[in-house]
Amino acid sequence: MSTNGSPILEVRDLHKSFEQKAGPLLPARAVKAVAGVDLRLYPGETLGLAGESGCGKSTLAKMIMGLTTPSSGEIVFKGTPLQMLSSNSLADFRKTVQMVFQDPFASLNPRMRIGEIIAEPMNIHRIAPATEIRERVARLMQMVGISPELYDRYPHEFSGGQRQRIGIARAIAVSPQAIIADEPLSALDISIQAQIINLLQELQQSLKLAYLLISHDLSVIRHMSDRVAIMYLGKIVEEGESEEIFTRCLHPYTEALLAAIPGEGGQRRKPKSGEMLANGSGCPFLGRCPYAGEICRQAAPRLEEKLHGHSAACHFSKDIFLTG
Amino acid sequence: MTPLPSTNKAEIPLLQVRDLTVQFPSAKSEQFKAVDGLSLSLGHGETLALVGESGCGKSATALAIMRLTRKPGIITGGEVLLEGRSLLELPEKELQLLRGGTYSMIFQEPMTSLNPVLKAGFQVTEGIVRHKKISRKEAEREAVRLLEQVGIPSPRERYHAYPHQLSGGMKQRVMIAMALACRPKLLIADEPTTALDVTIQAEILELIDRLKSELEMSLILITHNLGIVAERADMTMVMYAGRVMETAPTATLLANPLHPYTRGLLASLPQNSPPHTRLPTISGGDSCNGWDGNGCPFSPRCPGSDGPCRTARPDLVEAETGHMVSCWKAPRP
Repeated sequence: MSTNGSPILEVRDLHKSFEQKAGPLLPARAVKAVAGVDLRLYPGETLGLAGESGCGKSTLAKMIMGLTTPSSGEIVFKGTPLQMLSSNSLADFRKTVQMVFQDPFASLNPRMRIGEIIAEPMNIHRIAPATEIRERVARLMQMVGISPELYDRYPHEFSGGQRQRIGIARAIAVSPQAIIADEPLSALDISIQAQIINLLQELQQSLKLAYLLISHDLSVIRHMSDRVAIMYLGKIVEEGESEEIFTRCLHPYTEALLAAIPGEGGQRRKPKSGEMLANGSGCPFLGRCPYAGEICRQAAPRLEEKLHGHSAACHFSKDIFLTG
Repeated sequence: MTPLPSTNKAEIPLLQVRDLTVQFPSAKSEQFKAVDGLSLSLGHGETLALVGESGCGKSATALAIMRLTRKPGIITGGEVLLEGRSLLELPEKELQLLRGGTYSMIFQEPMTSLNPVLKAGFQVTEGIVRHKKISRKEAEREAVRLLEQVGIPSPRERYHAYPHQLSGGMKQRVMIAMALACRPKLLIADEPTTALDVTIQAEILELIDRLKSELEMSLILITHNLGIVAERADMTMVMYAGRVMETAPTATLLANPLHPYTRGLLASLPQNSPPHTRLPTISGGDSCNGWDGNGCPFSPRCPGSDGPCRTARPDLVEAETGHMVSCWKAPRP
């Protein structure tokens, strides 16, 4: 287990609902984007978070980064909840936890030179005297594989893969311990994806970074993660060590995701087609579940440890374990 | 002219494309060739996969076959024969009878390809009324039947739904119903699942497979996902910088890739390496960056390129039966 020491980041029973205002035809209602998530990110590990669009992955990332306020629950940084942090420790938190975004075209200011983009966080956190910054930027550019001579260029002069490298250089500029990477590869071509995966892995080794890697692509998650959490409709439905999840999954939704990987479908049971519905008291996956029984209609299963270090939220994990 | 890969079944292929070239005006050179002398041939009931990265000319090829190339792009050469009829020379009126009738296309983004102010069912009916000599009432009944066939629950109600009331997967099903309304002989699917969620992707691909065998259609499947290709394409064609790099029966191509670009693509997939290891990569940036227009377009990124690769364009030659490669270093018979 890579879960050594105490977690850098911990998320406890986090909720976020968005109010949908009443329209001419619809009454007001709350959409639960994140509905009670617990996660821990330990130093140096990669935690993969997988799930489909709308499952709450990105909302979770935004809450961790403080870009959205949670409805309830807490985010704990090195043992202290964020609300309790002093302004000094909050600055430390913002330095220690950085983010890499999905869209390398939208996440870089088009009016800044790339050197300035990479230098900006160091200036904000007053990491180094102004005279040293340029040298540090050059070193960072080298680390991510961009020639330091390109300091004065603008983002539009770079391809998608190079921009993602610039975004990564900006994230590591303030020597963080954890990086939240929200779909960092999905906007890139296949041959470029592999380059960025390698870069992220190298940086993790040399800088001892922890990653919370958010992706819908399970082959990427499997390649990079030590532990994996699967999210469905705002909840974690399965969590465990990466190889465990991929060889012995215990939740029908994970099974459906695995069955959807071309060439790996095999004998896994595919879900029924249907809409995602999160109403009532039963299991949220009920409508699509090939295993569902009476109990699933009555009670939503809780996330429980089923095998050593491997949790799932399903009443029929045993059956899935046997068929999968 | 390079020889075409042999196809089985019918003697005259359903679709033949020869030396197709599509150009766009460009600031750097006088003309940018999005498609550069592409030839392909597709038999009845066959599936051909067009694979490559963004900007390699996959979609430009599809649009040119549909004769939907948008300005300022123009088709500057080659021919497209559908059942022996030359599509590029047909007057627009006659072409409209074929388009949506004999052959049709589904697009990458179901979100933007449907008209947002018209009901989903109406958009399906529209095509049927246009191509079949039946009354509006009958066409509507046919549309409901099609919506049911593509797996839309309660099709009668969904007929009256507007696109924004449907999920992405449902919208793509409506697109498929529209494309299949007149039982086309050829369907071109341009990244039909890229905008969709993983589990929905699998459903849509299964739907296309099922309908393909029910209707005995031929299919051109455009994708950047090599995993999708492995399971359903008879032939696979790998494109780079508007040109065909390699084409072969899919199993052959995956088992014995001969072009360094194809090899690089397959090797760089995370599922082909053990977890946490370094992935083999193709050096260089996005397609055709750093290529000066001479020789092989892949030469600046190719690990094995040398003198001739930079100066002379390699032809597409048959390396083994049915396996064509455009590379100076590939084995030659």
